[in-house]
Amino acid sequence: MIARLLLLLLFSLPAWAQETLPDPQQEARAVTLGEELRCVVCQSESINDSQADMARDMRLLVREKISQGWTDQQILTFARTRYGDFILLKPPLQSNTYLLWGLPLLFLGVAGVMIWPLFRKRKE
Amino acid sequence: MEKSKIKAFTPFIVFALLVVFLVIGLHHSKPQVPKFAQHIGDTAPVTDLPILNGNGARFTTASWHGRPYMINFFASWCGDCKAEHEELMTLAASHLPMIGITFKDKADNVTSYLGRVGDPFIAVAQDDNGRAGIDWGLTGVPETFVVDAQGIIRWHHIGALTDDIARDELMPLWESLTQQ
Repeated sequence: MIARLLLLLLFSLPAWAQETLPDPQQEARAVTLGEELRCVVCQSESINDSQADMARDMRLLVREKISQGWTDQQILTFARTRYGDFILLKPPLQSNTYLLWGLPLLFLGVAGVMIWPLFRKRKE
Repeated sequence: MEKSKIKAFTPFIVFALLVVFLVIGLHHSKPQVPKFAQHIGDTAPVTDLPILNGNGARFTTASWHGRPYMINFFASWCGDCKAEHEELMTLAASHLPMIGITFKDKADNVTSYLGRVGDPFIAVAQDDNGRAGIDWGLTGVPETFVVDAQGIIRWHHIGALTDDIARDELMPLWESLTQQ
């Protein structure tokens, strides 16, 4: 009975189990990279999260490049030269994204300036 | 009195401004503009693929250097490809050299598909594992590219081709490329 259950468990492993690299360190790199790359079909999901066929291809591609000795940076550059910055789920800090990265700080500053007088008043 | 009133209303004014900006943003965003890179103006990737039923013959982008051509990624399993097929047949009739690249498809399925709907391509290459597609920045099928005689990508269309797109975008570009 237990053997049967174990067998059942073995066959119910998720699909990505077949894609994992034997080296746990390399596999960890593949998982991290997979979190950073956008699925080109679903667009709001990473290739790790997406069930799209092309996301699976990308996961396989990442693992293939890792086992060929590519660095993480080389793999990200590979994806970026083909799909552009949009393939990266975390937008890079560059001239056209300064506003994007800076706005939260700006809002925080404005809110601080607005709230500051209230605190001062309370103390008085 | 007046000053403190203004102060009290400041957060609401800021909030109202934010709402105005968001509403403007919503109405001016263009969802039809692809967010992934289109490589227009870039050199076409090096592609080397076996030709369908070609007895070992291969399609390479290098062998097309010096001539403009069109590449159409398609698959027999893809609905939008069937939808644009009529348009491809029309373009073939106007002697536009089209290379079809089958995206993750089986040779038998492609052969019977083209036998059924007609073959507009001068050659059909097979991208069985989809790797060539990734090199072209493909996000799905169908997608169409125009490459000029210098090997530069001049046009990239995502999704099915229509009469309007062919008339307004593709044919004017093609005429300018062939008159060079």
